[in-house]
Amino acid sequence: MIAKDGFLLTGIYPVKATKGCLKCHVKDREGGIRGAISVQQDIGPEINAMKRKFTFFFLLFSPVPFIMAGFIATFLNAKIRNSTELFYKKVRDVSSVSDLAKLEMESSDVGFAEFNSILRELGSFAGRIRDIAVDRHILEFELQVLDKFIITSDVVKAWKEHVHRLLLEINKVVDVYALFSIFQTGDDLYELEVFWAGAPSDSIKEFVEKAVRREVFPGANEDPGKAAYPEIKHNVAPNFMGPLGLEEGDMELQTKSMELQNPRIKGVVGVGLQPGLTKDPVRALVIDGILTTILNMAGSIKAIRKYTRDLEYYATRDPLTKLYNQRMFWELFRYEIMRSDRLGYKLSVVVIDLDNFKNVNDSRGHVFGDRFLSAISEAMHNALRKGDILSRYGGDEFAIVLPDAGEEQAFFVINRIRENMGRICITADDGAEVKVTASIGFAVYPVHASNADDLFIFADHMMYKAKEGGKDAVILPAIEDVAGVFRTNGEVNMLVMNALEEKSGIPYFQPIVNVETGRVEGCEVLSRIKTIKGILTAEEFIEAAERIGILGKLDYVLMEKAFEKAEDEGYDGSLFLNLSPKSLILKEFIPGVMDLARRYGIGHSRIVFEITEKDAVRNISLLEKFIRDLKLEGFNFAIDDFGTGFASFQYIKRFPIDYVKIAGKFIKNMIVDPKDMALVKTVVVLCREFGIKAVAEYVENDEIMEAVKQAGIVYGQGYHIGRPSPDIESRQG
Amino acid sequence: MRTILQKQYRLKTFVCASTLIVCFISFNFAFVIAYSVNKRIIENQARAVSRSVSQQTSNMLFQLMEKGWTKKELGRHLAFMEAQEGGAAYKIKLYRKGGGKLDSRVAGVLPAGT
Repeated sequence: MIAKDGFLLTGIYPVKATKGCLKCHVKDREGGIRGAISVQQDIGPEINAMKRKFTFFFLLFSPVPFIMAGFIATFLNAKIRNSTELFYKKVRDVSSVSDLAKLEMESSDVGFAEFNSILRELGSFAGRIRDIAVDRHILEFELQVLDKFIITSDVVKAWKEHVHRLLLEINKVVDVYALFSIFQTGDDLYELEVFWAGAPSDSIKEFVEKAVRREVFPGANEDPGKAAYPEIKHNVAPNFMGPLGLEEGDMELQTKSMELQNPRIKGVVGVGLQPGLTKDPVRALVIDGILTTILNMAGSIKAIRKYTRDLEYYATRDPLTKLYNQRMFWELFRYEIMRSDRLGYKLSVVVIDLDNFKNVNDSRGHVFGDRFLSAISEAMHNALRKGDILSRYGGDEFAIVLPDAGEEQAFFVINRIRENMGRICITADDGAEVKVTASIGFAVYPVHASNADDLFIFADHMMYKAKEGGKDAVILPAIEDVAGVFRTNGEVNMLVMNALEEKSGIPYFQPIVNVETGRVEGCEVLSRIKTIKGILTAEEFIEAAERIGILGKLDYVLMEKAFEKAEDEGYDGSLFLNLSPKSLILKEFIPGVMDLARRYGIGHSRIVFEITEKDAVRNISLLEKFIRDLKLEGFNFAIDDFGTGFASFQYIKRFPIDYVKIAGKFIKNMIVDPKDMALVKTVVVLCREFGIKAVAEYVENDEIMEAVKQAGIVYGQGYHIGRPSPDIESRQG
Repeated sequence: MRTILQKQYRLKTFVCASTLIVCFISFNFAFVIAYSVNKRIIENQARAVSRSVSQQTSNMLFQLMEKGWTKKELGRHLAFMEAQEGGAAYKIKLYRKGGGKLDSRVAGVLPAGT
């Protein structure tokens, strides 16, 4: 046994008896314990010595591990620094969405598996980002391009140059070698244009042509000689790039198509670009965006061009019959007169007015009427010679210029026209067959007149003569006609024109009195023209003014003078103005009359427009609208010559009428004819029921005045009360 | 401790500090282990020496008993043996059955009545 006490070790061992021991110690037995040996050791000095040695050596070698640690740390730091630098560099190099592709595709080793793993994840993340991100500079480019897509008149005029400029812009971002567009603007009309960024080689041209045909006409025969293919026009951008030097396979196409309904335009645009560009989803989107914008722009340009062409066409043509309109007729007519003068041949002008066409229109409807007019115009056109000028002059009036045609040739042509028209027979919806006849007049230059205006007036007069003679006729002009026409029409036309230019029209005022009080409550304004021979009445020049299209202007001048006079003389009664319904529905009429009323301080309620049935407009709804608009402005209305037409009651019912002027013939005759008396009384009752004031015209003597009073008519007008006079003041009171 | 763990370090600083700390701890740990092992070795050597000395003492006792011995002679032998093992590094004591009083530790080793 060994016991330990600090550094003191004590070993105690038994001393056992052997055979030798039994010789002396007889009582003992072998193996019995005779005593013990204790061995005590102090190991403290040894352990302390060992501790000293250890401490010494450990202190001696203690810097070694720290130096090793330093080495390890330095090595590790260097390794980590290299890896992180590489990592940073890769991430720092990403400055655009396209750089993400490098991050995605590169699989470099940065020295640590963990960093490599992060890099791989980053690459995968970059791939996902690329699918959803768009480069800022690409967006900026798109905005710049969009700015250039503003369609101006210059762009419409020179759209090819504009496309070349666009190509230049697009090339700043995407390598686009060519742009092409194909538009179907008519039923079979294609326009195929290819715009090149530089001069293309023949082989690449051929490649593009084939590819474009495949894109635009899939499944069709690729033989370029086939008529189904349109001609391809190649346009090379001036001073842009040198020869392209491309070969087949160096370019791929991307296309986009559109279809407009009105106007009907189908289009395909495409770009030829570097192969593989479209694999980049962002660039593919950019290209698609550009294509869409180009398509919209080109489509809009095409639509605008087509619309402009239509406008130009219909500025000279009648939309229904496609014949020249009146404006174009006059231009060509005057031109042909000049040619006739220069070349010394005769020229004929023919005026054709359809007989009873208004009835056809009214009874069968406008749609049928339009069909009818189209058929007639075609029949007339077929009867003409090459170079003859056919125009639709008005509603059912046609005018033809026959160059190099004297009376005889003109007569032949007219006969052919009549024959063709005679064959026209159009079946209406109710099964009735409708035929047409025409009244035709013509005149020959220089036989019947020395200028275009007079020649036309002459032919027009002949046409009227044919109408008055029973219609369905051609009037050959005779020498006495020439004299007659120019004595009447020519002089009057001249007078009317001068009256308008010199504002020599004069308003005459005829008083309208309250028959019970005798007080002048209004004046009818009558139009007169002062000439050296005397004063022309309205009846003498109204027709001419309307024919030459200046009646509206003449009315306006008259109104201005009447208002001026009323203001000057301090007149405060009503002014009854005779106006043609055709003047009323002119767009500028309402603002014009309001301006005059304001300028001369005439209250709207003091102005009464007299409308007659004689000049009824075709579209009564339109007239109604204008009358209601004027009524809303406070103007009043009167029906003139009430009872002479068939639509008198229609007018009363539809229009907001304030006065009815009973036709003078009924007033004049009512004292001798009981029927007229009954008629007048009926009108008076009608007016009372409708709250309309009745005015009796033609009050020419006391007897009539008395009858008017008896009949209960409130107002009277006529020579007995006062004659028309330029003086307004003396008629008051 | 939490502040230390949550604090943001540069990787370089972290590697250096960690390496140094680990080295310091490892070095001290190695020192303690080496010291303990050596101490145990010394103790074991002391035990072996103790057993060897007791055996030699026992043999010497039998030889002395066979030829007849005196206390003086025994003392001389024991001194000789103690001197042989390095001087006063250990002390040898003898106890006999029936005479003298045994040390309490010795009594635990010998049978009762010795």
